Amino acid sequence: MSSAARSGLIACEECGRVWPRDQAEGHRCARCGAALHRRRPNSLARTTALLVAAAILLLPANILPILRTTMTGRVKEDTILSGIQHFFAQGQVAVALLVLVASFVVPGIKIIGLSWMLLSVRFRWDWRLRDRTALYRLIEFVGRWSMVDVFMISILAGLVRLSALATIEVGPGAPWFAAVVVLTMLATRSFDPRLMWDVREAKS
Amino acid sequence: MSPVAVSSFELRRLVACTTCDLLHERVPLPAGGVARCARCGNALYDERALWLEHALAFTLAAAVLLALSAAFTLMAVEVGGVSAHSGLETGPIELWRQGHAPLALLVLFATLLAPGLRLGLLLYVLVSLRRGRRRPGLVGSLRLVDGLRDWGMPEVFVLGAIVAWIKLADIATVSLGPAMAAFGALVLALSAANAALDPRDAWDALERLA
Repeated sequence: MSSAARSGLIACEECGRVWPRDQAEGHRCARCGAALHRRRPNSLARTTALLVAAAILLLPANILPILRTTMTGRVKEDTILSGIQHFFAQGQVAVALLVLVASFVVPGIKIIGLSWMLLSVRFRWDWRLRDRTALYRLIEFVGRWSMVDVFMISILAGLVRLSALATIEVGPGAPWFAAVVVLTMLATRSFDPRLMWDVREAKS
Repeated sequence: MSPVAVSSFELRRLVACTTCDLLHERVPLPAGGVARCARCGNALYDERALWLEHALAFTLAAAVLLALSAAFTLMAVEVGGVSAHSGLETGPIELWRQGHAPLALLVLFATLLAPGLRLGLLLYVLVSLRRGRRRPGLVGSLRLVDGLRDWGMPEVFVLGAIVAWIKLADIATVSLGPAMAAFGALVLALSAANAALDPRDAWDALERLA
């Protein structure tokens, strides 16, 4: 068993076509036109930068309110966590769990999981390689679901303003939260999971 | 290991795993079969009967449903005899009005622009493949179809709408409009289209067209 890289081949990341490395590296795929790389360029540096930025923005995203509701003269501010608490208090356990997973657990798993993967490549850890790869595919798949809160805010703001029953203002935390989601999605895409397997191949 | 000498015919039969780079030789699969990576377990390729016809049918349905979603009422609220209704564009317009332009564009892109553009381009590619016609811009279109896949999020929007609905339910009477039904159906049609379509099959078909 051998990787494409060890066999002197490069697989196009866009369309999957396999090319001989000596002719293809640094060129574009003759079938789909995508740039061909043995591994995603500057994968570790890019992923680290995006992850650090996302982790920093996690603070304003969670501390600042994402919604400010004014109803009959009373102002109520909601952060991501207080919104979740509110659903629990109302007995809406299913919705509370849904938002908790989408807005809190998923961004956390992305940042912790990708950090683990970065460290494992940097320090050549071989441990739980298959599980780590499965975790990468999971992170790739669930990343978008964190946008639930952003869409909720957008729908509430539009509908409530039109009905004039109250005013809902988008809180200052909302853009930061959206930025965290986008940055972690970009970080996931810039990380190359094949680097983790290169560590094992280099050892054997 | 030294580089293997392979002809371009043999290269066409090789598949490298996208998550661990292990090289496999493509073997014929039974209908509905899936080939998985021997090392990390990632799905490599599969055998889908009539994938082009299925993908085309569901993509067409999704495009019609997206147009309906954009044209009709998404949600309506009523409180104290006053009622209002909103569409897909209402939220982004209000976000923009409140000075959150990037957020407005993100929501508009993820719910309307990215799915719409992707469905249009996908229809163009699939119809061309079905008819066996080589038309201009097919390669670029298929690449954009792949690139836009992550950024169109209709299914996440449906969840967001459900959460908003429950949040509003204790202060107003909320009803879901026809666009919400169309949008829910769009999510189903899209996932059926994505299940039928392996982008790599489309690339292979496009290569044979050339």
